[in-house]
Amino acid sequence: MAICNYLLNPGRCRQRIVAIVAYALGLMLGEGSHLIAFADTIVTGIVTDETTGAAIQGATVVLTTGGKQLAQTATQSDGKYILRFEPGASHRILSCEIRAEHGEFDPDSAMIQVDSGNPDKLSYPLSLIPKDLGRCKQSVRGISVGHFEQAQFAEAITTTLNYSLRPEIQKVPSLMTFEPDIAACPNARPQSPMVYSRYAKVLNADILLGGKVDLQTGPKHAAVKIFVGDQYELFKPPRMIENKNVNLQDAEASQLNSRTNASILIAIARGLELDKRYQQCVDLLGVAERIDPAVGRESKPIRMACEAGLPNRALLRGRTP
Amino acid sequence: MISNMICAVIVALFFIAVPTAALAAGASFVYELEAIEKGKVEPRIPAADYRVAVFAYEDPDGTGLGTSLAALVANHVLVASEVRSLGVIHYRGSLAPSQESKLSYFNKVEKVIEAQKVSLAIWGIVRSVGPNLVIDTYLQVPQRVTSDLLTWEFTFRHTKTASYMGDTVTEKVTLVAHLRPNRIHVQHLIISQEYSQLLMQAGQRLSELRKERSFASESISLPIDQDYRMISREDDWAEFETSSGQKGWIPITAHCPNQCRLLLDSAAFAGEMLRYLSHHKSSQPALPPKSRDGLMEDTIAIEDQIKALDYIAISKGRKELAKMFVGLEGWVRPDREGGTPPGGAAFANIFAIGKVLNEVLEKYGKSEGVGWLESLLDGLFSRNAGPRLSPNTISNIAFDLAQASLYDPQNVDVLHNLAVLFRLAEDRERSRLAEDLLRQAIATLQDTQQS
Repeated sequence: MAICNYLLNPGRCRQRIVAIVAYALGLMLGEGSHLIAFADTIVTGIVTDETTGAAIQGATVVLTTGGKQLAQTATQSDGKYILRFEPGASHRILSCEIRAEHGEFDPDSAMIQVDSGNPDKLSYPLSLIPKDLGRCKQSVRGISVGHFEQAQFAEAITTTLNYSLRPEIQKVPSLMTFEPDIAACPNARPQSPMVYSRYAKVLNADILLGGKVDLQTGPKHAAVKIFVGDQYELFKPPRMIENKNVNLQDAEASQLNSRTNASILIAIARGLELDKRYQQCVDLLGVAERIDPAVGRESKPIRMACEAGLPNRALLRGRTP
Repeated sequence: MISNMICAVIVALFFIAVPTAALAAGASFVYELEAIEKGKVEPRIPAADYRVAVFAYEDPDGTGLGTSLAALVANHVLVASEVRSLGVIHYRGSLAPSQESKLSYFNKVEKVIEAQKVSLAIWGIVRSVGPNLVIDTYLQVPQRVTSDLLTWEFTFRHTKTASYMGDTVTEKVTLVAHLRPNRIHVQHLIISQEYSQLLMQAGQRLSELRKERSFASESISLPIDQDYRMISREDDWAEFETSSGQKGWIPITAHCPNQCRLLLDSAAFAGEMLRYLSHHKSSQPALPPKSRDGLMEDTIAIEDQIKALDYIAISKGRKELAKMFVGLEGWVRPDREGGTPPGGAAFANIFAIGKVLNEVLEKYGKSEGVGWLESLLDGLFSRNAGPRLSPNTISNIAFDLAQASLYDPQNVDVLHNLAVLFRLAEDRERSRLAEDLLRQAIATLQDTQQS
C-alpha cells in the first residue's frame, strides 16, 4: 500500500492507521482530546533458550527508560510477549531497555529506540542462557568439556586433551603463544547431540565435548560415549567415540583417537579463519594433518580459504605483488 | 722430544677415553622459575661446556615412574653421548598448565633452558592407559643453539648486468637454512604395564653407587642435590665421584633390559644430537643423530635435514649434489601422504638451495671434475666474475619455494631466500614483498619469544 510505503515500514504504518482511525472517531463522536492522543506504543518479541532454540514460557519481560519502568509482562507458552505503554509527548525519542528474566536462566536485555511512539524494530527476540552456563563462556576460543555423570570424568578428558594437543601445537614457532582454552564446564548439559553446535556457540568454544557414562557392572567396567561437536557445524552430526569396558579411573576411558584429535584442531583452525588469522590457521592445519594425515580431505576447504588470505600468495606466479 | 710426544699422546688419550662429565641431581623446577622471575638465576654446572636439562616425566596418572624415566634417559645421555665436558641437570616439578600459570610443556621448558643456557632439554609424559604404559619423550633445542650451531649458510658470487652502464656487477649472495623443527617428538612408546616394576627398579639402580661393577656389590645411595663426576668407564659400567669424594659404579645399560631398553633409544638419539652439536663447527663433523625403528617421524626429518645440509656443504660436484635430492624428494612431493612435513617448508627450502647451487656449479664449473670447493673459492676470492645465473631458471626455483611458503608462511629462512632469489631473478616487486614479510615474521617471532 502506497501509504504504508510512505510511512516507511509496516509497523509504523499500523500505528499510524490506528491513530488516524482514532482521530477520525474522535472527530465523529466529538469526544475530548484523549481520543485524539496517539495510541499506546506496542513492543513485541519472543524469548527463547539460546542453547536449544526452544521458547521459554513464564519469563518476565520489563521495559524501562532512565530507570523508570514503562511496562512489564510475562511470556506465553510460545515464548512471545507484548508490551504496551503510553509514549507520552509526541515526537519524543525514547531510549529504552527491554530485559527478560527467568529463574532458571541468566537474564538478557536489548536496547530499543522509540521515536514518536514507534519502536525501531518490528520484534525484539531475546535469548537466555541456562543459569551458570555463562560462567563457562570462554574469552579465548578453545575446547569446552561438558557434563558427564561422573564428575571427575570431565577433568580426565581435560587432562587427556592437554597432554595430547598442547605439545603438538607448541612445536610450531608461530603457534608457541597460541594457547586454546581447554576447560571443563559441568553445567553444559546438552540434552541431545543435535544441540552441541548451539552450546558451543553459547560458550564461545570452537569445540564442545560431552557424553554419557554407563557404569554397567561397576566403575571398573564402564562404557563411555564421548560426543564432539563444534560451533561451525563441521561435525554434523557430532563425532562419537566409544570406549567400552574401561576403568573410569584409568586414562583409557578418556582417550580420543588421532582422527578426533586432528578434527578438533581443524575446527579451531576454522575459528582462526573466521578471525582472519590466516597464518596461524595454516600452521594449525599442518599440526592436524601430522596427527592424522587422513584428515587432509576434511581440512582442504579451510586450508584453501586460509591460504587465499595469506600475503605470501602475492609471491606466486601469475599474481600481482 | 720423543718422550714429550708420547706424553702428549697419553694425555690426549686420557681425555678421549675419559670424558669429563658431571650430573647435578634434584634441582627444583619451581625454584628455578621463581629465580628467573626475580632475575637471580644461578648457573648450574658452569664448568661444563655442554649441558642438558632433563625434566621428571609428567605423571598425571600417578604411575610413580616420572622420576625413574627421567633418570634413565639422563644417565644414558651422560654416559653414551661421548661428549667431553658434559653436565646433566635433572629437574623435579610439573610442566602442566596450572591455575597460576597457563605456561606449559615446551614453553615452560624454554624459559628455564634459555636462562640456564643449556644445549638441549629432554622431557616427557607417562600415562597409564589400560594394560599399557604410554611414554612420550620430547627433545628441545633452544633457539639460541639453533641460531649458533644449527644454521647453514651458502654463499656464492653472482654476476649481473648493470643496465644503466652496460657493465657487469658481481655480488655476494647468501642462502640460509636452520634446522627445523627445534621442538621434537622423539618417541611414542607403548609397553605393557608388566614392565612398570622393571622401569622403577632400573631407575632405582641409578641412584646407587656400587663398590664393584656388579649388582650384587655393596652400594650407597647417591645424595640428592649434589654434583657427580664421571671419572672412568669399564665394560658396561661408569665410575662416578660425588662432590664429597665418594666413588662408585653405575650401570650403563645392564640395569635396563628388555622393554626398558627401548626407552634408551630416545636417549641415544638425544646423545647423538648432543655429539653432533659438539662437533658441528669442527673440521670433522660428527654424524647426524640417527633415527631408529620406534622413533617418531620428527627424528627422521632431523636426520635427513642435517644429512642434506652437510652434504651440500661438502659435496664436490653436480653428480654428488644430485644424490642429495634423492633423499629429499619424499618430503617435498605435493601429494605427500603425511601432510605438511615436520619443520614445515624446511625441506622445500633445502631443495631450493640445492637447485640454486646446482645451477651455480653448472654455470661456473668448467667440467664435472671441478671441485665444489675450488669453484666456491674461485667465486669468493677471485677478481673474475661469478657465474651469470639465468633469471628464468632462478625464477622457477623461487616460484616453487613461494608455493611451499603457503603451508609455512612465517618461515624466516624461506622468506629470506625468496627475497634473495627474486632479486636474482630481477623481480624487484616480489623481492620487496618477501623482505616485508620477512620483517613481519621476525617481529612476530621476537614478540613470541619475549612473551
